[in-house]
Amino acid sequence: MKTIIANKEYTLLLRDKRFRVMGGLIVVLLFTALLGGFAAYQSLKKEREMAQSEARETWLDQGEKNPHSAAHYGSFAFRPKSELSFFDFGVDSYVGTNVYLEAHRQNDAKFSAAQDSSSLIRFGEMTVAFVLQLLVPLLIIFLCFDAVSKEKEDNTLKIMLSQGVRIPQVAWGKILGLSKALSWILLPALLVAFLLTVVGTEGSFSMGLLVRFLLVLLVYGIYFFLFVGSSVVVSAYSRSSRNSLLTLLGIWIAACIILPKASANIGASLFEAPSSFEFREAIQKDEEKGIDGHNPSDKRFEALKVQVLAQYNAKSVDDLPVNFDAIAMQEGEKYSSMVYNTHFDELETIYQNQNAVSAYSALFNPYMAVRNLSMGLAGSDYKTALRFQKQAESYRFRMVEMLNNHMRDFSKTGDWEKKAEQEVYARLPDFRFESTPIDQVIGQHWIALVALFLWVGGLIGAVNNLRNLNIG
Amino acid sequence: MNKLGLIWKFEALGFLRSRLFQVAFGLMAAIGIYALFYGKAEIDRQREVLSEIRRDEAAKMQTLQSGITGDTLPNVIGNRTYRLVDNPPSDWASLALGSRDIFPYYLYVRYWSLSRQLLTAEMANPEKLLIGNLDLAFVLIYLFPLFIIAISYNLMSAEREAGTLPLLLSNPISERQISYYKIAFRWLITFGMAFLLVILGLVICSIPPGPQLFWWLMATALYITFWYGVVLVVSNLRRGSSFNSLSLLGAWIVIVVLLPALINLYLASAYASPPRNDLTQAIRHEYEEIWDNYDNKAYRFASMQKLAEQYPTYRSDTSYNWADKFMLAEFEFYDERIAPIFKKYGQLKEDRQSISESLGAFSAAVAAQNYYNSLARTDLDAHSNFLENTNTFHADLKKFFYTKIYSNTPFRKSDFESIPMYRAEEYPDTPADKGMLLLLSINVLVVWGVGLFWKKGKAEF
Repeated sequence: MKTIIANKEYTLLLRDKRFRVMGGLIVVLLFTALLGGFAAYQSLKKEREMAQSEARETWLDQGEKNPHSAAHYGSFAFRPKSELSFFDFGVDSYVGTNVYLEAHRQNDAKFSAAQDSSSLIRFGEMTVAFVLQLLVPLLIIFLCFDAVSKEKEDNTLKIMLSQGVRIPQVAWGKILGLSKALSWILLPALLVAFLLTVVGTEGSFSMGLLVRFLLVLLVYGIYFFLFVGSSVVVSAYSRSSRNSLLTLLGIWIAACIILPKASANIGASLFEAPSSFEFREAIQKDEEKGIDGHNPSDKRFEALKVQVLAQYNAKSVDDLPVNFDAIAMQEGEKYSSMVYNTHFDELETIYQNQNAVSAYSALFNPYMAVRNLSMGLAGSDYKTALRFQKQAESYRFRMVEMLNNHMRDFSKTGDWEKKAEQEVYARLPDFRFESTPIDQVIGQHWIALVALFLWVGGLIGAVNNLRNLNIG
Repeated sequence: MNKLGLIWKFEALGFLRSRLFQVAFGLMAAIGIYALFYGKAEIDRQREVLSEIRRDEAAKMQTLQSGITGDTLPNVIGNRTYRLVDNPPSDWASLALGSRDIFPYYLYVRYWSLSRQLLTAEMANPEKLLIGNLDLAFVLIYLFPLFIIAISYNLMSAEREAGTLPLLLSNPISERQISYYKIAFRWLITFGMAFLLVILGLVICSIPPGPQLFWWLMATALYITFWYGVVLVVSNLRRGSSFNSLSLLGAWIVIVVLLPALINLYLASAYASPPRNDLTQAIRHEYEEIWDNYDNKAYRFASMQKLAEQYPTYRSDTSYNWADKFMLAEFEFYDERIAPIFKKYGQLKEDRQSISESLGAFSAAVAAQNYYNSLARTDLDAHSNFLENTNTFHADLKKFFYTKIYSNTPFRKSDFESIPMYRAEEYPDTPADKGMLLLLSINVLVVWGVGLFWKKGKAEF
């Protein structure tokens, strides 16, 4: 019986002009977003790869110079575009694209796309994720709002029930039929998305990427099922098709437009983050006075001197076989790095807390669950941006450490003139961003996954519970 | 007049008894008030940060001053003088936060090489930036049209479906007239609510009423009028309530969600944000050049000559403080060499901005948002103006110290008073761009033109 209803629903829908027009529109939008997103992805990817290799070249070819000058000359880390980011830009447009790596200073990532844009960017970017998360649910609502309510209005529901069908069966039949029709709209675009993913990797397609893609499919599959299912349930409970439509649209507006904004805003109000100025001031203070307030930089310097002199059994720094300036610089770098990382982690905790409000809101708003999972799987979420910043900072530290250690060993204290050979620079490996492994991505977004499965369970229960529906 | 009064009276009664209206009205008022408090909190926080830096600036100056007893070298003071250059939020910023959370709104500058101090970014939670702010402008642009749709989707169709339309038309009144009266009534309710929210905004965010109040209300009135134009066009089609609600929501999706997103997609692929590789490389490379030539006497001499030729007031001797004079000359040339690259990207940004503005004309929502941001001085334009002011101020600061340094004038204690200080109000502020209001008006005219003059056959009952 279920399949008969499903087939009837499917056939009717395919003949429906509404379905053809709106479905066609969604297909056009999906392909526009796919191709536009892919074009943007490819050009950004090329540009950043070129920029990164240029940074590497200038680093390697900087010529003979004092190691500390080289540390000041520094290098750059460019945030690569992740392979799947063409379908979900995530926060990519709002985070800086490159970090200048130099001695003594942890720079922020600079040049975000949002800083190049007018406030128009706040209306949202047309990505595949945008279509899938916001527009496809609308399509589903427009197609399914009268699924059961129309049968009630036409009195056909009673006829069906008199033949021994139960309402949950009707509902499941509707859900199946509608989903089948819907897949005609979505599957071609998803297939192209997959092909583009493969093309985008330029031959380095990996297992991890496949898993990511399949998970993306699963997540969106669940999301659409939730909308189809709840539309049918709402339709069954509504007094009229019009009421059903209004309720569903109300839910869409609340879940997809208002709640995400409200939860992010509330999170930001609950956990106040410091301004750049306060952040930098606190770091500077801790570097000067010691992170515990009792260990000022001049005292640290004196203690280091005593320790190094004892280690080499020397009377003064001039007697040392190594360059004490380099040792002091490296210690300073270590200390400032520790202070910076401490403050950075504190700041991150604040941001994470802010975002947690949105993340937990997924429990009552599946849109948030899908948004977070989608960004996470696409490698365009905040966590990935954060990971980049951390990797860039640890690369910077390695760079400075390598140069300081070289300077320590190859020259004496007070010698700022001796030049290192060009080969030294090659000791620093190229900067390579390691993206988050898939199991960690899942771990970061477990709330979203749990929320989705809870919703699925709840919805199945709600559909089966329709047997108690009083159709008057 | 009597007919108008009668229709309005019954409309009012109908609304007061409608649950949908009560819920929609309450919801809009609640979200609107939340938006006002949220906007106030965000802007208050920015003001707080600015006054914190202002205090820090004074404290740093105080420390510096108290360590100086007599005359001293001007560069010693200059190197330790930090000046806050700020872009304080305008009075109206709380109502339309715009891009204030994206652009840095302050710089802490010293007198040399501005291009080395310009590339800052304000720290922010990217996820929050992505989702944007729930300010009054958002409520007016996104949610008001929904409110309008909720109370007007059955403008005439309700009468037709209830069978009261023929009854109404038996009076000496045309169907068109009725719909105009009904729209006028709803327009008044909607604008009234917007008006109340704005006035409440003035109180909550302590905004002094000024000409902006008029322009803000003007833009709001135009935007609301635009949406009632859409209502009229759909209502003129004389279809059922469910068709109307679907079409109106479709229009909302296209105008508020789809068109802006499509424009963004076009901009992202055609005007992608450049990685600015040449800029970052130049900043690094040119700086190293300076240090490479630090000990090159001939180069130093040539560089000083060049500066003297360009700026006769900076003609100086090499007897005193030569190394610093050389560095400052080099910083000047450094800025000059970097300037064209900055200019190139500034130009790119402007091109993108103007193209996005003209494309935005296709969506009344974008035009309205742009105008609100422009009025509140929270847009890209205001940021560019801030950067220009920074340039002007920095030139003054630079001139102050350079003149002393190159003329070997000692820095006296009394000179502290005359170190230039940035006061935003003393610098030009470009006025809000009325062009966007014009675009909005064109949208209104087009949709009302269609609504008033495009007629579809006789009514079917």
